[in-house]
Formats: sequence, structure tokens, C-alpha cells
Amino acid sequence: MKNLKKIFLLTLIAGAIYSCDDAYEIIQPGEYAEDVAILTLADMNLALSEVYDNISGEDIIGFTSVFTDEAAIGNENGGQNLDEYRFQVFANNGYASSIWLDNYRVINYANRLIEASDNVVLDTLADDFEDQLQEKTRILTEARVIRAFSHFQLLTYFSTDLKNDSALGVILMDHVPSSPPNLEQLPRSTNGELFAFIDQDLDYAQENFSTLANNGVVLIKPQFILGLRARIAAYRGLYPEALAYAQQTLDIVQGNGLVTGETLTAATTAYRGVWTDTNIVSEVIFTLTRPTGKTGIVGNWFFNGASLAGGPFLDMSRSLYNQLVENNDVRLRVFVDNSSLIAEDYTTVFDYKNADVIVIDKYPGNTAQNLPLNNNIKVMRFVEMHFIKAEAQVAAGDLAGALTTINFVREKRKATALPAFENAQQAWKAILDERRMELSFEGHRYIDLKRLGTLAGVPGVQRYTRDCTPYSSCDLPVTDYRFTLPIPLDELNGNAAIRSQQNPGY
Amino acid sequence: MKSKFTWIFTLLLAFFIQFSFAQEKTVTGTVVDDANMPVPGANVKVEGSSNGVQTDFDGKFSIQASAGQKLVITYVGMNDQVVTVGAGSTIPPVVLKSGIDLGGVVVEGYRTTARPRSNVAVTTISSETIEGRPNVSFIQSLQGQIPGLNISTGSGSPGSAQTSVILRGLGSLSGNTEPLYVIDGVPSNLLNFRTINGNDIESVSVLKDAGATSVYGNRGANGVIVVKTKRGSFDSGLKIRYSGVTGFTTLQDHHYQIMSGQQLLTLERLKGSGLGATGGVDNTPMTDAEIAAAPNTNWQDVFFRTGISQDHSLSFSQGSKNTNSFVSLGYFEQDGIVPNTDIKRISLRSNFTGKSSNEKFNYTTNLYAGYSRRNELEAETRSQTDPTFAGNVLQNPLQGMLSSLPYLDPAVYQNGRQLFDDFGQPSFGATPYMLMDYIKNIYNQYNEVKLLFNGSASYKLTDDLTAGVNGGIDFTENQRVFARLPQSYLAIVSAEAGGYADFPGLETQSTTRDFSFNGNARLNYNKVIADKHTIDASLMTEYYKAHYKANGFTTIGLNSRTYAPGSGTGYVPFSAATPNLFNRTVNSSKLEAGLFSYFGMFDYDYDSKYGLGVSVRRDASYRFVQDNQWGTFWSVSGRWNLDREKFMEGSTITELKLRGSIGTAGNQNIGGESPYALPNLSRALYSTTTGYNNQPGLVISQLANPTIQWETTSQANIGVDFVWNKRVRGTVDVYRKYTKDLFQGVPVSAINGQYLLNSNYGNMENKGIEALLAYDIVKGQDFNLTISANGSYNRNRLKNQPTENQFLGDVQIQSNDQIAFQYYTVRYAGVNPSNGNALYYDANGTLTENSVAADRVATGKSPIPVYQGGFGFNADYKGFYASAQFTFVADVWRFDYDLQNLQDPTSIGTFPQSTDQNRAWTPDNPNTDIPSIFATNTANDALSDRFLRDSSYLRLKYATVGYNVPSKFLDQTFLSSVRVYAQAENFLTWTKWRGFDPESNAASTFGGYPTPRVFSFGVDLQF
Repeated sequence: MKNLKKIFLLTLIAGAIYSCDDAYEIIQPGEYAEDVAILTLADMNLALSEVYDNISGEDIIGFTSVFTDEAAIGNENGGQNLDEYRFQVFANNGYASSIWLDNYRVINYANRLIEASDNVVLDTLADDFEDQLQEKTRILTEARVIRAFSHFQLLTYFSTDLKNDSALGVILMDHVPSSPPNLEQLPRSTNGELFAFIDQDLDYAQENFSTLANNGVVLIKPQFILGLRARIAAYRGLYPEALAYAQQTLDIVQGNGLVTGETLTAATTAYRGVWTDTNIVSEVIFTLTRPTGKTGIVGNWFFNGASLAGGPFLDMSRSLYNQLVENNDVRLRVFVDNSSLIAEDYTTVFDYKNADVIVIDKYPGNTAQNLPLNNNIKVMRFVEMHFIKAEAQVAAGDLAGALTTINFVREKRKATALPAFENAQQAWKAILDERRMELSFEGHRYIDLKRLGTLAGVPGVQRYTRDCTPYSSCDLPVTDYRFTLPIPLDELNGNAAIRSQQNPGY
Repeated sequence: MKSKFTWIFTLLLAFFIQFSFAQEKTVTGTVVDDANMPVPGANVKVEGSSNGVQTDFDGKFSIQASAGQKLVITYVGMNDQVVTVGAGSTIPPVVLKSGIDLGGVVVEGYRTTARPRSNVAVTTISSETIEGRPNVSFIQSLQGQIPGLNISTGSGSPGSAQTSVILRGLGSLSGNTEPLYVIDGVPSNLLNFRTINGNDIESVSVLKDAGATSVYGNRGANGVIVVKTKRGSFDSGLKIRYSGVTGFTTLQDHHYQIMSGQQLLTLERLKGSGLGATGGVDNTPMTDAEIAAAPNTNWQDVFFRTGISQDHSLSFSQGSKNTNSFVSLGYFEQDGIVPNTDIKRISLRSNFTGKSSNEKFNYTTNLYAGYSRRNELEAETRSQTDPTFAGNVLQNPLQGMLSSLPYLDPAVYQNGRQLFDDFGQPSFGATPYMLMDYIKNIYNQYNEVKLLFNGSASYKLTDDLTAGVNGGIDFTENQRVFARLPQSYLAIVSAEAGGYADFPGLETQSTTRDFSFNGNARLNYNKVIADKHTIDASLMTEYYKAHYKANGFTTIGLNSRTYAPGSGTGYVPFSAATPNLFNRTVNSSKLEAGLFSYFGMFDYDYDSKYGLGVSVRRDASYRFVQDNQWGTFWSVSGRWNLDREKFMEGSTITELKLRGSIGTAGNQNIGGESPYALPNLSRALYSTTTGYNNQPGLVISQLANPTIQWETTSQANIGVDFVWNKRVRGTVDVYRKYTKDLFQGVPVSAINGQYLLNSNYGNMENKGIEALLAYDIVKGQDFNLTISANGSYNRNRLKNQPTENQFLGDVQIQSNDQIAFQYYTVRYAGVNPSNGNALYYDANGTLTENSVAADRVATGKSPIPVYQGGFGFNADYKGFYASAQFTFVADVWRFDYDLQNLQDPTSIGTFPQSTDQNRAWTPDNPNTDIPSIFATNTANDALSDRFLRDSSYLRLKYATVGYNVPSKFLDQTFLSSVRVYAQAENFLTWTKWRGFDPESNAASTFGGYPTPRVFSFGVDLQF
């Protein structure tokens, strides 16, 4: 019994003295600390891969299609997107929230990479030092272009007036924000400040064009940088600059960048291949790949796949379809799925919603890879440069030049040539209409209506009455405040500095 | 086989009874305490039988017993006494000593205390309440019995883990809200109790106030539930006990009034949509005759069934002078009410206690091993709020009954291949058939092994000083095999679309292992000075470490000729020639968690009249760093036993105690119930991922927040315990709980790459009152009747939230000074009599047909009940007994999306409808509560409170009738006690909720798995 006593005392003493650090000083297996994460060029490449991977296109495309006049409520709709279709956009709108966050996340990742690159020290005595330096510059160039692009995406949706440099833009984020508990809260900068910042990044990129020489269209190539500058200039109304950049972009491909040899009868065409992703190099300046495991853009409109059986909760608006039918070109054949239910008597048919289902086929799914919901996101196509060129020509009073430019595109798509424009408004209208068809479901219509609607004499969204009447949502003037998205409630909640800077109307 | 066994015994019983004859006599005696005062209300029981009485006001009792039998005398707060019945008819006075040692009854966590000397709020439920009830988890048997303890079950699938247990209101927003479970002294990681045999449980004590929970500082913030399992007793012969229960599980009723095939076709014809509108000749509307001839299927018969439930336990207990043991074997089996769901469980428990002859050294070992196998729907583990699943009528069989058109014929379905050939891709038209195939051909089986092992030892170093250690492990291994069998429709659809039509199917196997060790060492000093002053002080350290390991794989492509679930046969190998086919994915994870504490407790008692308790505890958690790593928690409690005062002498109030406590406890399980969630928030981390174009990537996966810290709940409690006139016993408690530094996602600017950062911010208050009353209406020799009731009210309010209104999805909000998880909806106003459209109130209270999100207002309603409780009675008459337990919850609100679907005019033609649609608005019926079937604005319902329903309910949770065969009939048999009974669970429910089951732990459900109604019969034999 004496022994037991001793054992007990020993146990207690041991319990008291034994350092039990291991119970609460725990590093989980596989933790990868921030300060050692990016130390080599290989690490930078890995981080860049993640910057690219976070560039989003799906939300912009989905929102634009349902909020404007590209899509309508489909027969399988169980409440999906009704708010947006009915123009019910408030500060807590999910699209506003995700477009804002997605872009700032990309910016955050790019800034992390750019700042961490200071830790990547190259050996100046190494044989391949020059190659390494070139590689490092390439990575930084791509990161900075993506950072500029993301800022511009934000401006496109959240700035009230891109043509006004003193209007409020978005938050200018040129650094990695400090960590908790010292969280940063930053106000919006002006458009002018943001464009200056974007220009810096793009200037840097242009200086280092050569590093991008080996990039394919799924990465940033020099023409994307020029094309982006053209788009920025056009949106800002700086048309001479836009024209120059658009022309330079087209010059790079030594031609027009558009597929040729389209016919109205052939079952498969090169143009169709652009959308099925069997032909990913044509037409495209920059495209984001969406292989297996990544977000599926087809899910913007369908539950299971791009066909009538695939559960279309949104279908093509009758007004866009009628426009495609009127022009009766390649685009009608490529953008509308064969499984569509087309009611001849759509103006009178009894159960219109179920009898007239125009199945969107711009994103038919990547059937070659058995991915029915996935297609690459076309961030920018050469055809947009033609349109920018036409806009610039109209802005400069060159209606004939604009007609030529537009008809050039129409000819490639096997549409009939338009007759001469009688006035600038008619020309703007033609450009807007052409953009509506050609760039449908690519996230352009929202900003296009805002930019060009008034010039083109288009008063607002152009929805077919039987599409929109049940939802009391037939009219939204292009001057409506909702053509600028609200600063998301999520941002206002977390950022006191921006609370007084909400966009008008919200 | 097992059920036959039950019946054989029942038959044998009748046989034995005839052979027994009476040899009993009436024995009388007196029970006194150590001050020689009579002890009224003490229990006197003949050992090994159910024959028992209570002492009267003078401590006297009289009981039927025979010479040589032992009487066990028990009273709360005092040590048990056993006396042997001699030849005479009176026995000498029995002296019960009040004990502070293990003989006491009030379980206060690390120790037990005599009830009069307990300062804290504790409710204890004994084994009688738990035994023999056909619930997989014993927790469900506690429902409605403990004031302040809200138990809600979200799924009736056998072995479901979807049971929420909340004590005294929600204690956290995103952290753990469940109490800490302590089994035989060892805190457990249990997230569910499906693999624990409830028949082994001796008592369950719920510790509520800070005085009781603070000593569990690092895990006690949400209350503590202490479970003690059965043990043998010293100096007792071998006792063998068998109990068996067999029953049936059935679906509870619903009140949706689903239309028959004929009614629905007529409605479709009227609406101009669906078969009724196009099913006639040449796609014309159907005629009355055609409608009358259409099938009318009751899909309930397809998607639900009556299941069988069985529970068998065999236990052995015995004791010698210095050792005793309890061993039990259990087998439990329950079919779910949905086909292909069930659980089977076998268990073994072995509890051993020993002591040295000088009684200075005591030790115990407890071993429990349980193994369960269950088949579950995949829906069970996929969130109800997951829109891709719960609302997906094509993959949720729980909705089958409510989403299948009654005029469809179930015989159309033969097998998955036929379904694909006939219907092609999934479509609403194939809804019931796809679900029939889903139930049949989606395989989802779990095998769970549970081991609990613990041991404790103590040694009296001196008369006053005791040292002890206690250590235990908790091990759970869960293996899952999930498969889309090759013959399943979903497998065939995917394979056809994916280009591998010859080898449809996929299999996933996953294994998780969870191991934890908990050990503590203590030094206890207990001294009585001058007979009146008792000091009890302890110093303790506690160490906790847990390890988690998981791995799994998924393989696509199964060869139907050789495939068998889980066997590994029939996997189609990957081929480089077809890189997108037959891919396999593997995953693995490993986590650790740990806690370390030291703490002290001090209690002082003066003459059992006044008491004071103090505890202080220092805790370190592995989740926190630097200054936040250690938390300090404390409590002070006191009591005044007024019944001991002179002025109370002769009062009809024989017991009256005032208690009060104040103190704090911590919650470090900030990521939810799991001890492993969010293990390293203090550090910024990068992860390697699959980046762009499925190339490798590297990304920041977590921002550092070194300020993460304990959630601290402080609680003040005042309580009264009383006994009036020996007939009425009661307890009343009022409390205020205040949780500080709530762990939640705090809004941050998107420039950080995220909108929410896990931080500590904001507070939450719970205030409430709870009471427990029991009244012995009749106490007599032959007839006893006791009624009891308990209830609680809890008021929850958020304080100092990071934002004025934080939205949770579309229809819930967190706002300051409002209830947590409050519904935030547009107010539904009814039907516009002029056109049949739905009407809503806008934010200003004006009627509108086109409500918008900005018209939402706070409702003051939440999915967490404000009132809950139960009441019931126990009656016995000459061996017959009956008892009933009602439970209720009130002021609890949930969305009834099933009702919404059944009243949705846009679903006419696609889905079933409720007969409510027969009173829909028409020009001739303008004043009604159902909008026109042509209403154009019912989409607005999504944000409205139209389908937010009161799911308060009153339920006859449990009722039983039984018969204890008097021992005189058993004397000449090998049986010492026989009991037979019948019982019902969830027998009757009164509620406004129209679905199957108003009880749920979720704010909304689609279909859902209702908890079953169970009728069962049991027999309890002792040898």
C-alpha cells in the first residue's frame, strides 16, 4: 500500500510538471506558411496560375443576359433569376456582390504575386540569368495586365459614367491589404485615378510585349493588351485612341481575325467550332479555359445541359430570336439549338412559355470532353475590334467607313449587306444591333445599352411583350440608374469608408 | 430469430406464474438519517424486484417481502442501505448517512454532491426513462423531460446525426452550440449517439448553470450532459437481466390533402397545362370519362413503408466484497420508414469496480465497444439548404410522395435501363420513376465502430486527502461505401452522356478515424471540522488530445458483371487512351486538436444549511495563439437551505433551498461541433491547388487572424428547490446567459479577397425561466399516481453585431436586439379579390402585387423555439402501470416549401397539388385565401412569409402501459422479476404544421425524413 501511495504522488507530480505543450501548440500537418510560399520562379508560375483561374466571366455574362433583352424566362424556370429579369436590383444583389468580389479577389491574388516577387531573388551569375529575368518579367506582365483588366471590369459595372474622369470609380487596389486586426477600409477613387493606374500597368505590359511571345489565346498575348486598350478607350469615348488600338490589334493577326468560308447550309462550320471549343484559336483574342472540374457557364441558363431536355430555366428572348431570324445568317444557325420549340403562332399560342422555348446554343457544352455544362469564356474576340473601329468611324463622322466595317463583319457571317446609313443615329443603331447579335451572351449588352442606347435612339431594353408582361418587366430606359450596379451591401458592411459613396438610386 | 426469442419468453412466463405461490409477508420499518430524524420520501425496494414503496412523513414504510430478501433503501443525497428481511415482520430502524462521496446523487461534473448540499442547477434523468425505448439515440428519449433542454431531430432516418441539442438558448452563432457530453467521467467527442446502447445508461444529468459548468471551462459554455453507465454493487449475487423490445415504425400523418388523380387532371384541364389539358384524343383536353378512367396512385405506398424495430439487451452484474462488475450485450435493429434505410447495432459493455480491503484504493474500468451498420439515403448527408439537391426533385426520394403525379402508374418503372430507354435524359415527367430507381439503386452504407475505454483510480493518502487519476479514450471509425450501381438510371444517364455506356456507375469509399484521449489528475481535500464545517477542495489538471484521419477515393466506371459494392471488383481501369474516362480521385486528410487545463474547486458547507462554492480554471486551446491562448473561467455559487432554519420547523414545506450562481465558461469549438474545424485561423496559409486549366496552382487559402479567441459565456442563475407536503416537488430557475466575443464571419472589404473574415465580434443574450414540478396525487399501497410537468421560456437577443443587418440567405437576418436567425420577409397579405393575384405589403404597409426585396421586414420569428417543455403522468395499480409523456415547443417558425409546391399554380401540370387549389380565387369566389390558378405574381412568394408556418406542436411523445408480475408469483421460478409492456413513440401530435413532422432542427425542409411513429412491445426479465 505504501507503494501505491508513492505511485500516486509520482503520477500527480508528473502530471503537474510534465509540460503539456503538445496539447495546445499544434501545427497541422501540411501547413504552408505565407512567408515561405513564393520564393522561386516556379512558385511564381504556380501563383500566376491561380490568378488566371480566378478571372471570372460567368457572372457578368449571366447577369447581362437576364437583366437586358438577351434571355427570357424559360419553361423550366422555378424562380431562377426572376429578380434580375424583373429589374429588381438592390445593394444586396447576388451578381453585384459576386462581380465585385471576384474581381477584387483576382486583384488581391495578383498583388500578392507582384509583392512576393521581391522575395524571388535571381542569381545574377547564373548562366541562364537572362532567361530567368525574362521569365520573371513575363509573370509580372501577365499579373499586371490581369490586375488592370479586373479594375476595368469593376469600372464597367460600378462607375456611373466612364466618360467622366472625375466620376467615382471603384477602389484602387495597388497593394496587398494589411492583415487583421489592422484591416484596411478604402474609399472609391475617381475614374481618372483608376485609368491612370490601369495605364501604368498596361504601359509596363506593352514595354514587355516580347516576353509574351509564346503565349497562346488561353493566356495573355500582346493583342489582348492592345484590344483591352481599344475597349477602354471606346468605353471612355476616346475614339481616336480606340481606333488606333483596334487597328493595331487587327494588324497583329495581319488580317481581320474572323473565320472564313462560312456557308448557310453546312452542318458544321468553323464559326460553330468557336463555340463548341473545337476551334479555340480562331476569332478569339483571349479565352479562359474551363476544363473538367471548373465552373460551367451553361449553368447560367440550364440545369443540366444546353438543350430542351437539359432544363432551360432561361431561354433566348423572342426579340433577339426575331432579330436573328430577320438577318437569317450563320448566327441564327449557331446560336439557337435544334431542340428548340419554335411556335409559328407565338403571338397567339395558348401556353406561350411552354410552347415557345428558344434554346440558347451559344454555349453548347464541351461535348468533345463530355462536359455538358462547360465552355471556355471568350473574354475578347477580334470581331469586337471591328465594332470599335466602326464606332470610332461614326464618332468621326465617317458613316461610309462604318458601313464598310459593319458589312465586312456581316459578310463573314453570311448576312446581307446593310444599305447606306442616312445619319449617325442609324449607324449607331446598326452597330448596337450587330453587337447585340454577334456578342450576345458574352456580357456586352448591359454596358452597350448604357453606352450606345441614347446615341442609337434605343430607349431601353427591347423585350418581346409576351416574354415580359407576366413579370411586369417590359421597360427599362437606358438612362435608368440600374444600368450601374450598386456597390454591394457586403462591401458596405465591411468598409465604412465607402458607405457614403453608394451609386445613385440604391 | 431474435424476435422469436422474445415471444418464447413471453409464453414461458404464463407457464411459470402458475407454479409460483405466495410466501410474502408485510414488513414494516423506519428510515432515519444520521441525526436520527425520520426520512420521509425515501425509496424502499425489494432487491431484484420492482416491488417498492416510499416512506411516509414519519419515515415509516411497510412492504411485501419474504424472509431472506433484501430491501434496498435509497434517498437522494444519502448513501444507499441494504437490509435483509429476517423472520420477523418489523426491521430495526435503517440509518441513512448523508454522503458527499460517490454515493450522492447530484452529479456536478467532476464530482457528486448530496442533493441538499448542491449549489447548482442540475436535472437528472434516471435509467427508467431511457431503457427499452425504441430510439436509436438515447438523447431522443430525453426530449421534453428536462426544462431548458431543447432537442430537435431533423431526420428520422435510423442513426441520423441530425439531432440538435440546445440548452438554455443558442450559445453561439457559428461555433458549437451543443452541450459537452461526459461519459463516465470522460468528455466525449460524440456528435451522435447512434452507436451507444441506451440500455446501459444509469443516469443522465444535465448541468445548466455556471456553478456547475464552469469547471468544464474550455468546453462547458453550452452546458454539460453527464452520462453514467450502470455498474454492479459490492456484495451482491449474480443478477442476469434480459430485456427485449419489438415494434413497428410507421409514417406520421400529414395534412397536405394531396389531390387524387382525377382531381388533379380536372385542375390541369382548367388551367390548360399538363396531361389533363392535352391527354385527350389528338392532344385535346381530356373528357370527364377519360379523367375518371385515369389511374390514381397513392405514392406514399411507394416511397414509405412500415419498418420493424427490435432491441435486445442481456446484462450480468455481480459483486464480491472488493470487486463488482456489470457486463451487457446489446443488439438493436431498426428499419427506416423509407425503403432501404435501416440500422443494426451490436454492443458490449463491461464495467468493473474494485477497491482495496482497507477501502483506501478504488479503481474502475469501463469498456464499451459498439458496431453499427446503417443504410442511409444520400439526402441524409447533403444539406437540406443545398439548392442543387434538396430542391432537386429528381434526386431526393424524400420528396417523392409530394412530387409524384397521382395519375402516373408506378408499374411503368421496371429498371434503370428501361427508364433510360423510355424517358431518356432526366425530366420532370420521369420524377417518380427516377426516384423509385434512386431508392433501389443508389447504395449508401456506413459501418461504424465505436470504442470507449476509460479507467480511474483514487487513493486516500490520508483520511482527508485523496489523489486520483482518470483517463479515457474515445475512438470512432466510420467507413462509407457509396455507389451508383451499374444498373441505376443515374449511372446509365451519366455513362451515356459521358461516352462510357458499357460501364455505367461509380463508387466512393471513405473512411474516417477519430481518436481522442482525455486524462485528468486530481488532489482532493475533504474535512469536517467541529461537525458543522465541511471543506472540500480539489486541484486538477486536464489534458486532451485528439487525432483525426480521413481518406477516400472515387472511381468511375463499373463492370456490372463483377461489381459488388465495397468489394473492389468491377472497377474499370484507367486508360491513357481515354484520359477523360474512368478517372479516379483520391483524398486524404489529417488533423490534430488539443486542450490543456488546470483548475481548482473549493466548497464550504455549514451544517448543511449554508454553502459556498468557488471554482477557477485556466485553459489553453490549440486554436488560439499568444495572449488569447489561455482563457480563465470562474464561478461562485451559494445556497441557503431554509428548511434547516428554526422558523421553518413544522412547516408543510419540508424542503426549501435557495441557490444562486454566477460565473463564466468558454467555447473554443468556434467552427462548430467538431474539435478539428478551423484549426489554425491565427496563421496565414497558402495551399497548392488545381489552378488555371487544371494545371497546378498556389494560392492564399487563409488570411491570418491572430486575434481569434475564446467565446465566453457568463451566466447568472437563481433557483429554488422545494418539497411541499411531501407530495409536491419542484424546482424553479431563472437565468441570464451572456455570450461575448461571438465567433462569426465579420464583414470586411472585398479588397481582402473575401467578404467575411472569421473573427470574434458581437454578443448574444439568453434570458429565461424554467420550472419542473411533480405532484403525487395518490400515494397508496395499491395505487399511485404522479403527474409532472416542466417548461421553459428563453428569450434570445443579439447584441453589438458587426453590422446593423446581416443577411443570411434571402429570408433570414441577424440584427441587433433581435432574436438570432430571425426571418426577414415580405408580408403576405392575401388574395386580391379583383383579379386573384397574390397581395403583399410593401415596406410601408401599403398593399402591392409586385413586392420587391426592399419590402422585407423583420418578423421577430425564428426557427429556434422560445417555449419548450413537457408534462406527463405515472400511475401504477397492483403491478399494472401506465405512463405518458407529452412534449411541446412553441413560438417556432419554419418554411413549408412542400406546401408552397403543392399550392404553386405554375406547377400545375408538372407536380401534384393540394385540394386547397379547389378554393382558389375565381370571379365567382373572390374572397379566398388561395390565389387564382392563373395568378401571375406568385413568384413573389419566394421572399414572402406566405409559407412561413408556425411549427409549434404538442405531442404525445411517449406512452406505455405494462405489468410487473408480483414477485410472489415468481418465487418458485428462476425468475426474480418479470415485466411486460407496450409503448408508443410519437403517437399523437397536435400542430398547425401541415407536413409530416413539425419537429425539425432546420429552418426549412423539402420533403424531409419524418421521425417515425413507433409502436412496440417489450419484456423485461431478471434472473
